[in-house]
Amino acid sequence: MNLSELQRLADEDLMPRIAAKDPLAFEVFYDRHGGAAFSLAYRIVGNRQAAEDVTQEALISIWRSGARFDRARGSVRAWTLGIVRNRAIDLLRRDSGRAPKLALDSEELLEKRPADELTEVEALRRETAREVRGALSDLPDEQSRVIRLAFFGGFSHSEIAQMLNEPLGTIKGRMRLGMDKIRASLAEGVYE
Amino acid sequence: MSGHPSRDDLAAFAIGGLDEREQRSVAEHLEGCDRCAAEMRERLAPAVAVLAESVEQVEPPDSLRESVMATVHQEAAAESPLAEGARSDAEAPARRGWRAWTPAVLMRPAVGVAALALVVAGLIGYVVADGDEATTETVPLAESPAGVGGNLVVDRDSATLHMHGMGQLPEGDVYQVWVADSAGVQPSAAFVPHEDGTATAAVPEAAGDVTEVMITHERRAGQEQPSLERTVFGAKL
Repeated sequence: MNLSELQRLADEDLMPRIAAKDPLAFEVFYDRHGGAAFSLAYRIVGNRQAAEDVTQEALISIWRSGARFDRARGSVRAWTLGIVRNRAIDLLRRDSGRAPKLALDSEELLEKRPADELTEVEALRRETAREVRGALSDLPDEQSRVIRLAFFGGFSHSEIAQMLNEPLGTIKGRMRLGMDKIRASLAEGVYE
Repeated sequence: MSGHPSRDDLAAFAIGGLDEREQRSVAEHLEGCDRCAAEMRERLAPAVAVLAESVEQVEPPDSLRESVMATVHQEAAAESPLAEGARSDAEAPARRGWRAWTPAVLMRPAVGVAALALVVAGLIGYVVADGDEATTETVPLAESPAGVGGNLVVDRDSATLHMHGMGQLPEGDVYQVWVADSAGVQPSAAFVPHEDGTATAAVPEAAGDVTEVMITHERRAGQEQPSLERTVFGAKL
């Protein structure tokens, strides 16, 4: 199968070819998800070199274990970003002084691809990401905060409880309420 | 874990917010509980995916793509039995000629007669008759695991390689054909495939006493030595 045929395949159909060690299929996979993977890693670890290392590790692990993708558990995109997130959090914990980057994104540091190079899909994804950032900031501060601390900072609910001097149950409740609201926005088609 | 995790616990699990022991315990529970797995898959996982997408998108450096794809190509070549032979022999520079490219499967009797017979069967040529006189021999080249294969059509004094399944190349890169005979290894044609992955290349050297054909991905034409780590195809004749 040549490049243009591979580019027409859905993610889920690309994965068996990656599991069969087709490098061209992985090239297509990289072009679809490499940017989002790097962006997430960068958001978590907070510097470009570490983000590059994390993304490389995560993507190579996917290349080596593509057969483990299970479409019944979710999309390729979500699976990929989950792996990147875990690797990035591992790095934070390994380096522990663990100084996760918890400040808001430093917009001035971000390099953006010129708009005219964006594919329609990528442009849509970025638009979606902007809306989600909006939705996160629409959450009550206390819910948004615990979700950010857990997901991007790698802190557990008990660490967050200690940090914020709040009861454990309160922290978990805020996580659930926040996730429920994001889910409800999804159901209303805010991000789709 | 006894009973189902609470909704709070599932939500915390979904964003990696439980303590390590609890995280493991919920993961184990999900393996065997359809109800909780469905909650995770249908309600929480999509919300987590949106969360992961919510970060400002940052352009990764070109070096990341280059480095990831270099590893991928190298490991893909290593997975191929044909390239495995090439690689292991490249690590033993004293060996020259076709043996340096012979697929490991052909070099190791322990692999078994059946495997050997399969490969050989794929390489036995058939003759296209032109009237009463056989003039053209077509040698099918066994397809690699990545789907690269083709034929070598040999006339009396010329030979043409017809390939399919060749991946597209970055601009400026070429596929380089290498041929081996008892005297050693030499470069033959360089080519760029068509959009559909097919390619035709004249390889006059293959009309002679050539024992192997190999194709590597090269950054430019005119290389004197094959980049064995970027072997995309190889066949014994």
